[in-house]
Amino acid sequence: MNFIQIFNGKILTPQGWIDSGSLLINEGRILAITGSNLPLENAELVDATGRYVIPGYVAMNIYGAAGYQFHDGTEEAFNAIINAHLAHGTTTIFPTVGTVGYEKLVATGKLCSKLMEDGNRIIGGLHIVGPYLSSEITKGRYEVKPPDRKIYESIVSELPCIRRWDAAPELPGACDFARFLTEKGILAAISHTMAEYEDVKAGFDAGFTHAAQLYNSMPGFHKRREYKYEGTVESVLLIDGMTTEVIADCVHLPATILRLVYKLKGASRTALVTAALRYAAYEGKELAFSKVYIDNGVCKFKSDDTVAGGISTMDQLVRNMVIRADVPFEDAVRMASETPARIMNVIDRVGTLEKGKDADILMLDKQYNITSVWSKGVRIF
Amino acid sequence: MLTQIINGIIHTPSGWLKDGSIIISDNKILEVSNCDRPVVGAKIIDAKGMYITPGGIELHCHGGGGRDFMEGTEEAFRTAVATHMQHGTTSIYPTLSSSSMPMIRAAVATTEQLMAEKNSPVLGLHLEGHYFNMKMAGGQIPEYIKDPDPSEYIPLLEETKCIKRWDAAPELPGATAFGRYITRKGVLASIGHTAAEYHEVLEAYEAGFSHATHFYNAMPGFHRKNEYKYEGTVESIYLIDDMTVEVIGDGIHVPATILKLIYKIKGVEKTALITDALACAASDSQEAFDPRVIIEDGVCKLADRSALAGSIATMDRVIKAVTTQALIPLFDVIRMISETPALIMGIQDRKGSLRKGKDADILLIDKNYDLCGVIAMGKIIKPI
Repeated sequence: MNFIQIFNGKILTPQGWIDSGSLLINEGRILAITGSNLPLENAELVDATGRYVIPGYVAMNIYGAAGYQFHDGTEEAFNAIINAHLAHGTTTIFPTVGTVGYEKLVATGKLCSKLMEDGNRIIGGLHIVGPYLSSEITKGRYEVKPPDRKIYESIVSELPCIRRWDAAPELPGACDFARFLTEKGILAAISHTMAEYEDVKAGFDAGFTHAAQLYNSMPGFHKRREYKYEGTVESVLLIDGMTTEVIADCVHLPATILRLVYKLKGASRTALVTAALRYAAYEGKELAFSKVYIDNGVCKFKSDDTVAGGISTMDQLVRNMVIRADVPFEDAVRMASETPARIMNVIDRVGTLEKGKDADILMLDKQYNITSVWSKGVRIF
Repeated sequence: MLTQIINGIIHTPSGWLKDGSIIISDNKILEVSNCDRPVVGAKIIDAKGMYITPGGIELHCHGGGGRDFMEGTEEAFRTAVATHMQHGTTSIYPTLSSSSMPMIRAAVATTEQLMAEKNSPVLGLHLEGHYFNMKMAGGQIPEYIKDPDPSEYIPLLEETKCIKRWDAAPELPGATAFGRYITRKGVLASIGHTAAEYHEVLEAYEAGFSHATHFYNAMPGFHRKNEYKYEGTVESIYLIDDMTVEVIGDGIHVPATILKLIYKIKGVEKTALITDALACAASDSQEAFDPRVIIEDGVCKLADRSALAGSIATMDRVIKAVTTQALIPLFDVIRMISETPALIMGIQDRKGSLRKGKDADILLIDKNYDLCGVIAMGKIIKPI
């Protein structure tokens, strides 16, 4: 059986760039990464023509694309979203569902489990956000409540595909919730919270080891009348062991803040996320749902013109970090691949270009545009 | 005359030194020795196991003991300086908040007079204002606030020598030119009472504004304007590594978690601790120079409680608050009141650490972080 040899590219490995080497793919996996550019016998040769060869992106905190959201709950939706993001470099995805109510959550979760059981290896698992969120942050937009042990235990047992669940750590029962999730091997993350240091630390000790979308849906330091208080942001920055993520679309956060988080938390503790909604990678003109509209590349709520969510794809995030936030390209790539893979505990098979891992590979030109995508060893384009 | 301090734990640049001694001759440290045997002719001071540290260098203080530097008189200055010295401040930059030119001139005259005295703890004048962003005025007197005015500041700096630091909001028209000019005159330019965002802070830094006034106070952090988010002055300062900051260490102006964060991110060598004390510090006085200011809950505020307006802290209270509330090690807290301010003001050749040849400014601090003794320029100010 022939294997594929990608040569003449700049390959990113965990140890750094290899300028003249080859990446061999066989049966969906990386067969080897060698230091030689010489064409091998039995190889199907792919000349990278000097391009960057990097790991495929690992996306969490991602709700939809191409006019669909995962919580639509249909195979058509899942496939459309996955394919749309795949074309933009996302080779591992954690479908995210927000506070959509019990029925929709379970239906979406069951579909996710089924697709994974049927052999879809692009799906890493389900990511749930809410309903255990701060009502002050969500401001009546969703029906939020404190964690209810009976309900979440039953959801977790019904949906073995859950890999991450976000909640506000200051809510009564939230620490028990974190402990339960951790026991089940599910990542507990803080999100949509008003927690100050004590609650963030208590949450961290109970298992909330990740902070969702830093600086968004959480307070930073603020003044109440004459006094100043730290916010959730500073608390997360103070806890070294806590990982975090940033919505790097340059809409949710200015580039200066992206650079600051990179500087303070570092590439190995910070993941890039899209928080992409229905209208990411969307070709159509009409928006089927009336609650939002697109204004100059920003998706906003019609009701109050606030940002409704992301419409970026992972490749745009990486480009933003390099070009606008002045982050070295390899660190931007790591924040989109290795770091989220580590956070979501799938680093054993994806997230870096290493022998034995899944052949999820991207080729980028010097302007950081994706020119080719391999998913599980199959060239998508 | 030789004095030898023994039986204490000495704060040296290389760490705590036990079983050593400091030998003082006149107003200088003659030696820091790792030996505590009595030296011939030395008067012995037994430190009773306490910490022996460099004296506090105050970068930002408006008054104390009931007197404010803005009064401008020799008596006001002497009272305030002596008060703070009892509390651990062995060197000080008297600070004026936004004032009129006649007030500034009066304070300049008094400062120059005091600086000329032998062993003076007064090292220079600090002007906090009046070129500030009105929206971030806080406790500053609004009537005096204006845009940088070269017809004012140029003659002032040409004709006087004692102004060592001047704070301004860098986003104001003419602020960049102001920064460049005063830097050339050897005056430290500091950004304060500002709403500058990153590009303005960077431009200011490049024009000479290398320090930030009471970090986190009178400056915005990350915020939202309509649908978009913006970095604030705080984040911009974190992004510029070489910019130094000062932080009010009373435990009230900046909560303990943020003190910890600043220590973590900016670090000891870039962070100085200040009191930003008003006249009512270390006194029974309940009044401030500014009639709009009240004292409540251990801090000064505007009567409408919209902003804090300065502290009633003294250096010893800062040491205690930062060690016990923010849990920063005493060793580093001491550096932030001595070594770092000395570096920021460029006086590290003679002040800021216990080293042979430097001025004999020494504090004795007990195990509870309470100040028990003060020596300034070799003279015992507060006996153990």
